Amino acid sequence: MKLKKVFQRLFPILAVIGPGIISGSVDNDAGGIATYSVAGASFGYSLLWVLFLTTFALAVTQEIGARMGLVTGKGLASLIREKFGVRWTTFIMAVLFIANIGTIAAEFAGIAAALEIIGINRTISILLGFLSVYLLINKGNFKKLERIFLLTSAFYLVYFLSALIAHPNWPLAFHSLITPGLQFNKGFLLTVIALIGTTITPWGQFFIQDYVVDKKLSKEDLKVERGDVFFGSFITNFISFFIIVATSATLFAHGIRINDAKDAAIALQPLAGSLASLLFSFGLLNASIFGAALVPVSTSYVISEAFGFESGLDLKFYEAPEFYTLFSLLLIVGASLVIIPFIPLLGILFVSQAINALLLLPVLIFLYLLSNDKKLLGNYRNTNLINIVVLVTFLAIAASALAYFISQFIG
Amino acid sequence: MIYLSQFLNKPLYRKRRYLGDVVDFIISPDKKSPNITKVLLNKFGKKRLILFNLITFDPKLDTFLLKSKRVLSVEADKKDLYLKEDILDKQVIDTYGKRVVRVNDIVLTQDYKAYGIDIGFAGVLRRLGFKRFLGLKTVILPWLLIETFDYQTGDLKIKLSGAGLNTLHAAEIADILESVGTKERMGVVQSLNPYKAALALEESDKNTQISVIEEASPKELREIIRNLETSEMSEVFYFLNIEKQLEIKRLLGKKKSKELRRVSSFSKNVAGGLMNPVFEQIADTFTLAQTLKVLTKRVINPEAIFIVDSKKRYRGTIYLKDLIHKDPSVILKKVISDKHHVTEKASFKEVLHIFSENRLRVLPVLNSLQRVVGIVSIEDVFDRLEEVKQIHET
Repeated sequence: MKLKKVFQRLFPILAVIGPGIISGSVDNDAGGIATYSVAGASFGYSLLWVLFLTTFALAVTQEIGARMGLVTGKGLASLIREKFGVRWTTFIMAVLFIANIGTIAAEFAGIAAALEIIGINRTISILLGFLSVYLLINKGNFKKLERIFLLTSAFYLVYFLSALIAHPNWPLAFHSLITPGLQFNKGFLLTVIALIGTTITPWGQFFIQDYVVDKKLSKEDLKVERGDVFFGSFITNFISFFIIVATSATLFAHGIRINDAKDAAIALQPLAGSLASLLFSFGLLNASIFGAALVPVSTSYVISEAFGFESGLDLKFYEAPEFYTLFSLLLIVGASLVIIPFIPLLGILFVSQAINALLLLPVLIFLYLLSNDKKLLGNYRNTNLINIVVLVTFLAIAASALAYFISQFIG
Repeated sequence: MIYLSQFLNKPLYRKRRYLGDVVDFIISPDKKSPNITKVLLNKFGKKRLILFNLITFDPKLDTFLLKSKRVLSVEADKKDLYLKEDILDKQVIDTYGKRVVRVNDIVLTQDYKAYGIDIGFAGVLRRLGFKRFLGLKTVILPWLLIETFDYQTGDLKIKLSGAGLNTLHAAEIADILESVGTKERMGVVQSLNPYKAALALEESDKNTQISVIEEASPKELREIIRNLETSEMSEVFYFLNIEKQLEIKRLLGKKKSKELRRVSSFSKNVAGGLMNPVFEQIADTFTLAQTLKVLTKRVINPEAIFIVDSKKRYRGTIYLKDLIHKDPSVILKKVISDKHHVTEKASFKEVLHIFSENRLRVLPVLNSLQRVVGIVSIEDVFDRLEEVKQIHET
């Protein structure tokens, strides 16, 4: 009876938590694994400070999304449409569409890279991946699969273990976490941008708000939900930290650069030995398939919400034609970009994250304006500290992009 | 047919002198087809309202022209509805189609009366400047049919003909509650009569129920609790925040709180968790005439009543339909329709078996003293079957 009372007191909390953790877990998708691996392998620990700062930026931007969803009960696309009208909505939806084509292409690149490790040809793996994802969306039970994904995400713990076994330079790693260091070369700057873009994604911003709205959480749940998103952000980058440390200790330390997924798998050798490639392949495939299913569906929901289309996987095609057309288009274009043989998979995985960061800039502007709107949020508007974090994030991306652009000419 | 988007943000001139941009149009919503009464003028950030009949639109110049000599500002009225601020791009409820749609444009008659709203994608394309809409049909909802929301004050502005929502089936209203934003959701709840609101809430998903209960003001909460079945409340009670739980207990009073606790203490897999503690029981010595007299005082007549002896022990069930053409002087214990019953701990499987074998519509739930503590209806059984099916699917 006492135990029942304890559970009954916990129910309100348990009913709230989830969106932040799921949103954070999905951040460690194929693009994420690739970007962190490249960061660690190419630059050792020197980009850990970027990860540290983006953790705060992620927590803040996700909190804003969750807060706006809780207070208004509406998704970000809905708020943009109602506040700024159809033209700006079309612009931001176009931005989201393009960014997510890149993300979906990265997920398919992840599928291809994962299966390439075990010797499956790219074309076949893309086709298999496409069919699997399509069936997953149309025939599968999304909620069940979401739980399976979260369970199999336990795979990321292998990086934690691998990093411990690899005996990295922990003092240097922790020192690098809090000591900024810049290198003015193209590779470094692009990696900075990609690191930000893989952590704080345009679609992730729409996703967290929609998820909170879907759960119909209210203002009373704000405290608990804040805890949920902060924890989710921490967990995401906790894992990312160990991916970078593991790749630094195994690849960077021995001057091994990542050219394909097989190279990235070396990071798991301290733990898994000769099975490292298989283990990495499994983890990457898991992350990629789920990402390839989730991103097109959530994008279609967002765009449908913005333009008032009927949407829902429980509807038939003729009941929601725009919704089904959108996610089919996203899948087809995303997969097509990757099926071309000479396009480097790792390149797609990495560059798509950098593009995400750049396309995040307009999303941050709308986020800033809406979250400071007195009429919309009343006393739940941003504090000065939150505004500073958003502005700094914006400036950091813009400055990195500008520096990268300049470096193209300097050489 | 003309559209609001054709006139928005067009400049106003008087003899080549720029007076500002017309950024919004105001109507008084209390009519079937309300006409535009004022416009909102914006000149370099300074806004003012002027009467619509003082301006005219010149399609050749694509501008508005002031007919009077001076620009005379008018006061705002609380009842005014701003077409761009309050309606355009917002969600509205199509009570005709029983769905939530988005306003892509507003359709006006040639004499500038609100005719309806364009909810089709053609409206979006028109506003983006695409004159050829790839053959897309314009989908117009007549103004009469929509329930609108006011965002300026956060208060709900429902049209006076807003009985529309109350005519919808509870399940349809539940769909609407599940798909609108928080403010709109509470606005819909406020515009429904309390009984309808409770029915709609019962049909809604758990998250919507929790959201409405948590957002409800004390007055709204009182109405909800009065009309919501205890078994429904018990399903969400422990998911509410602690303050709301305490408020509900206070509003319920001791007896009903005890009932709520009792119902909540049982799982949904037993009769005790399925039952509704609200039922009608009459002494077995009552005559039919006396019984009917008691029932006429009730707001809602039950489908069946339970007959109890002097110690309030269950004796049988009478369906009201079985009392038609019966002698009013007959004593109830002589016209019992059915005697099936279950205990609080009876499994759902057992309950289902009894219902299906005996084609029952209601089943009393008895405690250890053989007294009726609740009633399980066939609808409760169907609802539980649906829940079980959904659980298996997830």
